[in-house]
Amino acid sequence: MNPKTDSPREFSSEYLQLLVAITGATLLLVFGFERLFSHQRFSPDVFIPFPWIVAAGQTIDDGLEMFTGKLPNIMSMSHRLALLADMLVVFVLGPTLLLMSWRKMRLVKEEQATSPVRGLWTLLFVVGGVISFSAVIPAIPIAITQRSVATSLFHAQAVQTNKDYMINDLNFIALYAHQYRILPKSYGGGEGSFAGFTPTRGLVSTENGDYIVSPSANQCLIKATSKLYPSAGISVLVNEAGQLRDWSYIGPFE
Amino acid sequence: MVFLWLICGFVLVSVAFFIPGNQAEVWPNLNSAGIAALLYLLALVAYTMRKPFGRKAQIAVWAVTFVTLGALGMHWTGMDSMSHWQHEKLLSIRAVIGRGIIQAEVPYQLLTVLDSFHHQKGKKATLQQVFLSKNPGAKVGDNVHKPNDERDSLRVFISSLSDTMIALTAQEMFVKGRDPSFKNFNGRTGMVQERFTLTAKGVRRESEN
Repeated sequence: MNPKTDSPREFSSEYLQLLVAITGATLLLVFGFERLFSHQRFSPDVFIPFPWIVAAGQTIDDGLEMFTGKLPNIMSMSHRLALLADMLVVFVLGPTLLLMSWRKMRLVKEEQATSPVRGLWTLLFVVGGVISFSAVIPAIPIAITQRSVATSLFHAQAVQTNKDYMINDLNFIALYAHQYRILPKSYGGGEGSFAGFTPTRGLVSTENGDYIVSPSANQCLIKATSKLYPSAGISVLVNEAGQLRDWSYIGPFE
Repeated sequence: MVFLWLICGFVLVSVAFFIPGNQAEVWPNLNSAGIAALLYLLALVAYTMRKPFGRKAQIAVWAVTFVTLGALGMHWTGMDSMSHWQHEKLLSIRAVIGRGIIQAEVPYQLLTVLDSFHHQKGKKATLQQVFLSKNPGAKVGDNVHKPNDERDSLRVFISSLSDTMIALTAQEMFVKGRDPSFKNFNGRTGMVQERFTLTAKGVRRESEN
């Protein structure tokens, strides 16, 4: 057969068996890796086929440091070099060994070469395949599920943000209710009572929610309904000392 | 030829990795190296899948290449955007918490003064006198907030003190506010700051940053 023409045995049974063996070995490697390192954080000290996970971890760590008032850590040169090494293994070494040895095996086969030469290329093919597949196999399901995970995370965070802003609104209403109770009647207050407290329109209807205030002599009940998530709400009591008590959350805020 | 390709790949990706320099974040280095690696992989596939490989093999390998690179790219960019989103979210949550703490503590302090002021018996003391009876020796510029623990970064400065008006400026020391160029009370820039003014009529709040 002319080596420069198409071959009908491109994916021979021998080749397919090899491919299945590599895939099996990679899966074992991936699951073994997960069992071995599941208790550890992803760090540049451990080889992982996804260097971007380490970078993402660093970005979130920086956020946590800044959350607690510390300066973000700058990744050391040794850790950067470790990330580069991961990149080189996954994107250069693995695919190059896999594809170049596959090509060599094919050429050797065409040239009817002796088996030791073919054995060497087969070994390199397996090594390259295991490295490449260890990055590719987990990436495909992760890429598929990532979008839905992100969507649900964004939604959960949006609900929480709305809840936080509504709690801030409630704090404001409680502040003005308490102030009303303190102020004498000559200053437009309740002189020791919440009764008659009527918050301004800007307080009871914000971009976050609507608030119904029910004042009585010694306490003030506030019921809040979210504007963004109408089934979500908060109910709280302002006591004589102006403190917010008996919080209860409704719907998505629970 | 294998070694030549390996060396070219290592050099190309390594050079690209170091082009953005030693920045605080490692993402620019990774992204730059990722683009170089993508170009290298496309060249590698194009080179290795020439004849004697047949058309079916070429189509299959290119298809697998695009699917896997697409999946890796989605995973990569997804982690990039998601981690930055979480980073920003953490800071905005901290700002909300900071404002909540300010709102829970500072007006309460002023309302205590207001309560005492309006419930005096006998000779009427001024707002300033009532405030100073609760904060002896305090003067404009002083921090009247007692930290709850060593991580408490809230400062409450007396920004104005008179017989008829008391103004407190509450400022977070590291929590960023809306305007990064805002000049804070203590000279910092861009931090959360709220101002509360007490008169005999009550407390007025201004969210300054």
